[in-house]
This record gives sequence, C-alpha cells and structure tokens, in this order.
Amino acid sequence: MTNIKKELDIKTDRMIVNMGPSHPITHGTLHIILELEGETIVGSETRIGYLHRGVEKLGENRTYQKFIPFTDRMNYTSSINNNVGYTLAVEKLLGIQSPPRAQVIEVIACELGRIADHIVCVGINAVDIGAFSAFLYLFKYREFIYDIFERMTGGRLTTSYTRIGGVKRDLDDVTIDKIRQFIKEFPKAVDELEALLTKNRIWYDRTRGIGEFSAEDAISYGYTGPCLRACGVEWDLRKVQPYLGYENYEFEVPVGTRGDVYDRYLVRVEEMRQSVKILEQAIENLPEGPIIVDDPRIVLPPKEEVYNTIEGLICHMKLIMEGVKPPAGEIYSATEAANGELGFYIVSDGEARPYRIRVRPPCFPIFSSFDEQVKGHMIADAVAILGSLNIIAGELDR
Amino acid sequence: MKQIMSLLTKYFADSIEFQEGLRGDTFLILKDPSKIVEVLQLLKENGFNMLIDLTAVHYPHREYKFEIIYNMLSMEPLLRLIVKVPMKEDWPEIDSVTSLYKTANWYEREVYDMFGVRFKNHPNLKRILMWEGFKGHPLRKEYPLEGDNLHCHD
Repeated sequence: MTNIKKELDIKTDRMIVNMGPSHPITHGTLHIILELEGETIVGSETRIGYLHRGVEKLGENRTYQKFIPFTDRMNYTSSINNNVGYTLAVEKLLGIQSPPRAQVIEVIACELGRIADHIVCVGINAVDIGAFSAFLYLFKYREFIYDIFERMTGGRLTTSYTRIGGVKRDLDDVTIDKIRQFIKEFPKAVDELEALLTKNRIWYDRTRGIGEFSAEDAISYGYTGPCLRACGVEWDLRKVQPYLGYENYEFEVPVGTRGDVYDRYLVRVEEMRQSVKILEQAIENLPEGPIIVDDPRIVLPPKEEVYNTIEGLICHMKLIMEGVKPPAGEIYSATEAANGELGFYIVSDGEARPYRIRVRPPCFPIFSSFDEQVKGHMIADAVAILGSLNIIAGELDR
Repeated sequence: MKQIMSLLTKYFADSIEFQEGLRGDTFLILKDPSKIVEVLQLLKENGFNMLIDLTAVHYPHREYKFEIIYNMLSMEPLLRLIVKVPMKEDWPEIDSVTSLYKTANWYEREVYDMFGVRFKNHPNLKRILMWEGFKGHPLRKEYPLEGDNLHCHD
C-alpha cells in the first residue's frame, strides 16, 4: 500500500476517528481515538472509566458477605467465577476451607462459567468480524448453562452463589442430570463451531497475524489467561497454583504459538473442551457431605434453628448486624477466572468491614496493550483485536 | 525465596525489612522510597518477570499515610512477593516503574487517579477512571462514599 502511494504521490492527511464511547464493537462504553493515515492506524488512545462505580470503595463500606453481589457485576459474563474468587480470598483471610462437596460444586460452577464466558467471547468476536451463524449456534449452549445456573443459584446472570465457607445451595438431581446432558451435547457444538470457523478461509485471513504479540511483551504487560497462553506461555493457575483441589483433575493447558487473534480463538476453543473434561470428572466424583462449614461465627444458621432456638437467633442477628470478623492482616489470593488471573488483595484491621479491598481484574492490564497492538493495522483489524482481548467494561472500569 | 531474600539483603540491607504475612505470604517493606526502581530491577532480573498488581492503601491516622503495594510474580519457579512502600507525605511522590514493566503505565495512572500519589517520570500521568477536571481522589479515606456533589463537571 505504501509503495503505491509513493509512486502516485497521493497526499493523505492524518485523520482522527472516534470509535465509541458507545459503538457496536466496544462491548460496553469505551472510547478509542484512532489516528489514521489512509486506512492504516498510526496511533490510538483508549479512554475507559465511563462505568466507574467505585467497587473498591463500596467494598470498604460494607461487611464481607455483603460484597458478594458486587463481585457478580464485575465480569458479568462469568459472574460465578468472580464469586468463587472473592470467597476464596476471604476464606484465606479467615484461614478456613470449604468442605469437599462444596469445593467440587465450586469447580463445576467455575468451569460452567468459563465455558459461558468463552462462548460469549468467541461468538461476539466472530460477529464483530462478520460471521453471524457461529454465534447463533453457540448461544443456545450459553442459554443451557444459564438454565443450569438458574436451578443451582436462583439467578441467571448475577448468581451470588458462593458463601464464605461454602456455597448457598446444594445441587439437586435435576441439576446434575442437566449438567450431564450438557456434557454430552456441548462437545458436538464445539465441533460445529470449529467446522464453521477454524479452517474457514475468511476467518483465517481476518485473524491470522493480526495483533501478534510476543511472549516477552505479554509478560511485561501483565497478560494472564487465554491471551497469555496464546503467546506460547504455559501458565494456568489451576495447574501451577492449584486451588479447590484442581490438582486432582486431569486436563491439559492449551498454548498457542504466535499470540495473534487466531491463536487466542484456538486456545479458547480448546479450553472449552478441557472444561468439559473437568466437568465430567467432577460430576462423577461428587462427594457426599455438607456444603458449608459448620461455624456459627461465619455461616448463618439454618432457618429452623433461627425460629426455634435462642442460640440460632443470636447467631443470625450477630452475623447480620456485625458480620464476620477476620483477624487483622493482609492477604492476596488469586484464581484463574475465564479471562485470566483474578486477584483480591484484602487488608483487614480486625473489624467486620475490610479496610481495603483491591480487585486485580484480568482485562485491565490486557487492554492497556491495545494501543501498541493496533499500530500498523487497519480499522477492521482493530475490531478483531478488541474482540479477541475479551474486554468486559464492568471489570475494566470497576 | 530464600535466595532472593538473601540477595535483597545483600544490596539493600539497611532500607528493607521482611515480614511474614497471615497465611505464608512474604512482604517486603521498603523503607526508602527512592530505591523502588533499583529494587524492582533487581527483582526483575532475578525471575520476578511480572508485575501482577500495583495499588495503594491510605492510612490517614498513621505517621506513614500511604502504602504503595507492588504485587510481584515470578513464573519460574512460582513465587509471589508483595513489596510495600510506606510514604509519609500527604501528597506523596515516587519514581515510576514504567521503564521496567509496561503494565505499570495504567496501574500508576489508576493509583494517581484514585489516591493522588504522583509518579515521577511517568510518560502520561493523567486520570484514567475519573474524567479530566474531577476534583478529589475517591479512594482516599476522607472522600465520602456518597460522593461530593459540589464538584459537578462543567
């Protein structure tokens, strides 16, 4: 392109194009200012913060349990992973562990959430590039997952499922059957998706070599999750720093080679398959037992006890009025959410409210590299890159 | 971890201190904020290749009003180290580490936006989450939860 221009000596002015704040591809409100020369992007500036709700400030002003609904709203495509990440952090602060059955249920919830998140990411990325049918085929299964969540948690999008020391409700037989049915049917859908996209010439040309990123840069930018693995770094917290007994499950960590949009897509597709594998193992080895720890200082007593015994009533009242009081200290706890490392840094001064809650969102550092990635590409490539980074505005702005 | 601890003590013996966290985490307290770039450089060259998180905590009633927290991760082998830098001033200033970790760029802008901590030599230190012209720093403890309605933007 540049050579032709030189020969013909066409004068092109630099042009500024505003993408967003509200644009079909921005997945929320983001503002991208692109500087164009012809059709090539020579510079860009991203602006976030349109949705800033001050989650951390809100967390500092309520008790530990009451922050759980706020974690739903950070990454709303896989809110259950955020619930698990947060309660694990508080459990670490308290020095307790949820019972084995609760841990397996949390693993099931996490993997279903991961699949739902990847479905949204891959599907919407394809829609942005112009492939609509893959999205339609896949979204059926996101509905399926949300039906399971509805039975499990009572909510479809905002689940608030986990509690400090366990989970809210047990899985019943119907839910387990539904999960079994999902495990049986979903791999076919992934095959269908791959048949539609993986070897599709248009998809290949639109994504291969777009937004290529070296492993070194990715690490310097603090990439985690599928975007880092697409660069060829085998790094998954479920393997290297297992939590919830992930060391007992057999699964593989897919890695890419070039770190471009195509590799990110492939990594996500393979991760969906591996998640199904984990689900299979979890559902077959679901242990019996309680789903929440038996400690009246942390967990609300059952309703029968609250209505019929004075101890139950007092425990209930004290937990509602005062909340859990962890020891003074600071902890950092990280889990592998669908998007990458989701960390919580909690400073406790021994009171019922956290002194400071810091959320380490996975897509904030990933998105900060956007300006560097789009340089030299075209506007249509910027669309592909943005979709593949899996930006969730609620998590980006917090 | 022992190796990196002895290495740090060798070079920065009089300005650092190690603390054991609640559940086995290791905290490094850096008493001399001007050494932050050197310390992180040493860490980076010895395996801590990722700056996972950068944040601050405000303690208005303490002598050291701020703690800047650098959350470091070494991938091979897996080690986590939290570097804490206590700062005395009301409006502290610390060297930027963007030259070492590119991800620090946005994190430092966020800490500046939310706490008013300034970073020297930062390439583009401006607000990131709040709009330009917003007054106040929302994560400071004295900033009210319900916001400050006096400062509506133009």
